[in-house]
Amino acid sequence: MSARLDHLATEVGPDVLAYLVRRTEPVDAAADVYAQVLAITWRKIRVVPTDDREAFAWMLGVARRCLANHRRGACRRRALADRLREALPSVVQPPDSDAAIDAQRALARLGAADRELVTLIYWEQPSTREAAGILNISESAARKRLSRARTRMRDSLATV
Amino acid sequence: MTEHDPLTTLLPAARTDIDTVPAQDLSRGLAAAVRAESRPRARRAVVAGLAVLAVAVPGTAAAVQWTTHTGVFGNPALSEEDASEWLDVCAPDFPATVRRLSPRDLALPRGVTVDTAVQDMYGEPDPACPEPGGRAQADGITLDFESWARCAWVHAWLDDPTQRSAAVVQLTRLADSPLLAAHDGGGTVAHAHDVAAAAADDDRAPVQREAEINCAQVGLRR
Repeated sequence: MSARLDHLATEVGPDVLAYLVRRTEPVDAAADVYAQVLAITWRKIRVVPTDDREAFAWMLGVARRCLANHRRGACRRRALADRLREALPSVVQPPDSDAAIDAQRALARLGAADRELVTLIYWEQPSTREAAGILNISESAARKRLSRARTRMRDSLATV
Repeated sequence: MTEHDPLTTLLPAARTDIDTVPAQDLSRGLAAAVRAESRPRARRAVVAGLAVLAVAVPGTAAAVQWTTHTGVFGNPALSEEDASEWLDVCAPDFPATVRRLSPRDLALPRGVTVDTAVQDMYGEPDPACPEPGGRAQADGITLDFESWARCAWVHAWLDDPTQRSAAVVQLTRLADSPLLAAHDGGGTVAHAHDVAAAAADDDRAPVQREAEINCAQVGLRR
């Protein structure tokens, strides 16, 4: 089981960490949330999907709930995350282009739920079915929401 | 996402990325720290823990008060915990509690007993004991027994042709476990059913793979 956690931390973990970095401010706060995700993954290692892609979706579901706890102030600062917290700003590569600014403006015009789905689909790139599972909504609801959000974003970009 | 979807190129441009190689190192280091802090299966020191306790705490009153029952229950609404009680894995009464948490109807292959399972899962001293903080949830321990039994049947199916029929029945039964379903993060129940179906079809390769990948650490000391 230790080998499984190490494998997940190496092969899947950076993508989960990136998910958190994209959604926390300041970015080093992602270290504590990620520590919580890894702790839960370790505790639940028996039931983490054996396929890496499915494990990624599973860990994103955990990360999303940990992030919600963090935003409610329920995530405590953990000493074991100190090294990651200190190093994290140096490994982050922020977007740097006019297109990014346009996209961020368009994203900002979406409702929170639509924005969450759109960024999940286009940034972490799970399938719509996986995204629905991560967000705990039905697949048909995810498809409708995604279609609506795409239309709004295109309209929004056309006016920029 | 389609080829003509302009968002496909635009939105990734707005994405913050991280440098993968150092992130892998940092993530591995954090995983090691997490593992050192707590264990997915509770392991405790029976003899060593009690010996230290006897030296450190004079009299019996403190020992009686130090119980595995914390009175703290998981809150599924706030995290991935289930609602069962958190147990102190270093407490002297933890071994007895572990036995009580073994499923009453747990069927095991010939020559394997619940004692074998307890010894294999919890027989090694936990390096974290007797320091406080080693915790495990009660339902997780019951699930440990089921997972262990499942692996015992996988090995029995592979090693003992006379137990194959029984192994198929038990692998199917354990795949249908309500507890496993309740803790399934995605695909675990389906995978258990796949292995049971392979066993029923006399398809050795998936069962062998299961033994090597998910059941490699199960020691069957008979």
